[in-house]
Amino acid sequence: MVKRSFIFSPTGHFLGYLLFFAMFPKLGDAQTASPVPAPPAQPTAVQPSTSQPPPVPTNPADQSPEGLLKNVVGLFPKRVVLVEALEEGEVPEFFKMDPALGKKATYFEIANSPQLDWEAKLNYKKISSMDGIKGALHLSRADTLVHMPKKGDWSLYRESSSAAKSKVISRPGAAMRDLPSITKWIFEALNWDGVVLGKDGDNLVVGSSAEILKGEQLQSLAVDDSHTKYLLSATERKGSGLLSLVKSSGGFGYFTVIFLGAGIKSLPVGTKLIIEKKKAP
Amino acid sequence: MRLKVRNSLKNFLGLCFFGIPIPSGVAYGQNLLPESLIIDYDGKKSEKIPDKKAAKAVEKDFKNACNNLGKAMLLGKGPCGVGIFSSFSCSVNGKKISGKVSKAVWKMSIINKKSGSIFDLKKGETPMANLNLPYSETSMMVLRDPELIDLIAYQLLEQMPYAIYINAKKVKEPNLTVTFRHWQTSETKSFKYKVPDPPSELTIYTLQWDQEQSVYRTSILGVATLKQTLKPKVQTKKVKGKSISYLKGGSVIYTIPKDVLEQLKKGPAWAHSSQGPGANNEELTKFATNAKNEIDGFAKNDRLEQFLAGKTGLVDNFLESAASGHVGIRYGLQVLPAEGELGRLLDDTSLFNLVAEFRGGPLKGVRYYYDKLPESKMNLNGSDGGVVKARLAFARHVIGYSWDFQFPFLIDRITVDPKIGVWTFNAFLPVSQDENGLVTKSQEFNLGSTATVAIEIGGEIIGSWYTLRGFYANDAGFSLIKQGARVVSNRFGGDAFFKAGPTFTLFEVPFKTALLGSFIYESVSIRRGVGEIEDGNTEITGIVYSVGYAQGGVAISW
Repeated sequence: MVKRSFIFSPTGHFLGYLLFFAMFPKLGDAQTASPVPAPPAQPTAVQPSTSQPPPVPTNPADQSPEGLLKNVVGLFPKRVVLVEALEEGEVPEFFKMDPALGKKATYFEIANSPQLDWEAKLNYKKISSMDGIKGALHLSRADTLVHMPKKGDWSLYRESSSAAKSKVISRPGAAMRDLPSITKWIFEALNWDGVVLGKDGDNLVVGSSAEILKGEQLQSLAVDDSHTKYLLSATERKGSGLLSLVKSSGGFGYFTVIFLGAGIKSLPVGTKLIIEKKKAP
Repeated sequence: MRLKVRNSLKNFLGLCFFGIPIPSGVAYGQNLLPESLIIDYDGKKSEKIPDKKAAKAVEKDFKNACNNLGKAMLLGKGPCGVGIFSSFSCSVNGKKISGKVSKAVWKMSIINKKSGSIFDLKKGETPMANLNLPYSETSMMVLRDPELIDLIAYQLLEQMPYAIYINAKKVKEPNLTVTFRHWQTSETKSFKYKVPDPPSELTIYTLQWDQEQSVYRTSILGVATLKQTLKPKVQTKKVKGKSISYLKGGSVIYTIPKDVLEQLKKGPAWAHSSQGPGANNEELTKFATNAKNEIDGFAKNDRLEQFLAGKTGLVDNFLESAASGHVGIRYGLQVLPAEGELGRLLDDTSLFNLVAEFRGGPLKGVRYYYDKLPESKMNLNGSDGGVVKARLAFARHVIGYSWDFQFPFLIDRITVDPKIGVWTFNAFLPVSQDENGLVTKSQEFNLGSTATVAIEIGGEIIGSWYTLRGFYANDAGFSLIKQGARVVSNRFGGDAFFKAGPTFTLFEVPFKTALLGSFIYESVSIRRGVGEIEDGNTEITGIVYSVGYAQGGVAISW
């Protein structure tokens, strides 16, 4: 209790609840097929969270959010490659973009770069002999691929031993082919707004997008048991805790736990978040 | 406690957002550096050469070819600066014949078999580049031509993930230029083949091998831009008192950005056309294929020396264009058993052929045949005790074109030859006979000149000194002077062409002599025409006969 009190007063708790419930209609708007997520069980009982050790990075010195991302294990995109054309027997055509913009836009790395285009040319024999999706994932070292054909639906694939099983979702593509629109499309496709990448007690490092985290004093709903899921379905958005944004930088946000639902002792790394969307003033 | 927590949070935030450098790039080990190459002639997979002397000659030719090819693939020695190997050795069937390299991870196998002259470059077991040129017996011989070698080296290296080696020493300041050799630097005064333009841009990069993913990783240093292409100039030098013209100089000059030079000062890098490896593979293969076909034509004609010396003027080109073919004559007698009085006449006939076949150059495929059955006369016994003065003669001019297609087994290729011609047929032949074989009725078959169309289908087996051919043909001639009159021939048989006898030179062109042999079975159906009989009705009369000729002859091939 004491640990949290420097940020949240009892009044803050109350406002948090109000905000939490106020979020539901918005979430419903964003995901029209989604039922209203259930609030955490027994929200009045603020559970002292049990501090767990943060994930052990392979390079202990690298404690930056990017470092956490590299070392954390979980079901969420860590490195994404954007592909415009995937023809069988041909080298994929990657989306051309400034890699520096990618670093500012989201928590996940975007593999697209002139380097990648050149590596595709250098390795054309190997890559063109592979399944298009596997080849692009292999070359880019990405775990997630977004296929953005100029016509038709866009598709999101994740690394898998079988090409047939790697497709996660297909849906109409973004209206614009710029990075903010593409990033927004990815989060909408995944049906969540952020993911817990690391934690120190009630302090959480969350991966999201700069667009989502641009508001101040954002609150967020942690989705129960979501660390075992890559994509959330409409019925899988039951809350397990309420969080509040302390600070953000690019696609990374620092959140602290306001309260956890009954029986929830902590939020595991990989927990997905539904983040409050504030309209720009 | 509160202070402790506050500090904890502060540290956590600091760690996450401030002061920690973001890791960039992933290390994949050492930059790739030039390595050695072994070029091996795989005699076991190549066409077998039964003659030991000829096999020795091929090995000798390979040694020359290997030295040329190895040199063209050394660092910067190829056209436009291509070349990635630090050293090379040559071997035959795995046994080293020249060079200092005993072991190398890079190996190029050269196989000369009927499916092609194959250049197969591997790193370890991984295929890296290949080229399949048209097969010829003279493949090893023609590879002594440095201009052809340049095309082969360039085609192979263009497929590679790195093609050009570049270091700070190659960069000339203050203009920041890098100069490479021009394509058209030749030992002769003219360049023989069509070659590609130098790349307009070169991407400069370091290269690492990602062991885990088995792919090449790269760090791009920058892009060099083609600034100038200087063509070589004709120069003259004296060799053994003779004045010889040749092409000297010629370069392609690229400019590089200043920061690329700074990076090159830290270590060498690789470069490749910015279009990427393999982007021009089709075009380059075509250039190399055309060059190989061209030089093979001269080599087959024993005119390789003149070609390499640049003597390829109009007359030379004409002679080369007719390369590979033969003109011959055949003469044969009827050998099928004779039956009846008609059989006696047919048994007395003979057949003479003039044959001209063009099997190379722009005239490739053209065929001309003249078949002459000299008039054969015989007094046949009539059923009425009289004598029937029978005779038979024809002459046939045919011109055709042969399309040939590779065949996967038993024979080397199949041929389809449509033909047109003129067939003159004149005969007085018995058309009916009694039970004793005596002539009861005879008729005149003077068809004059008939226009003929024909189709022939054949199969060929081609060896180094022989060609064997089986064929079936159907000729149909329609009389131009007699309504309804026609002559149809169905033929099948076999031809043989053997190189034999002396070689002689005429107008500086070497000719070879050859022997011809053939057997032709021919079934001829003649229709005399439509005529009126007394009651106003029409009659159609004709005859069908079969003959078989065994022939022998001589030919001159070039």
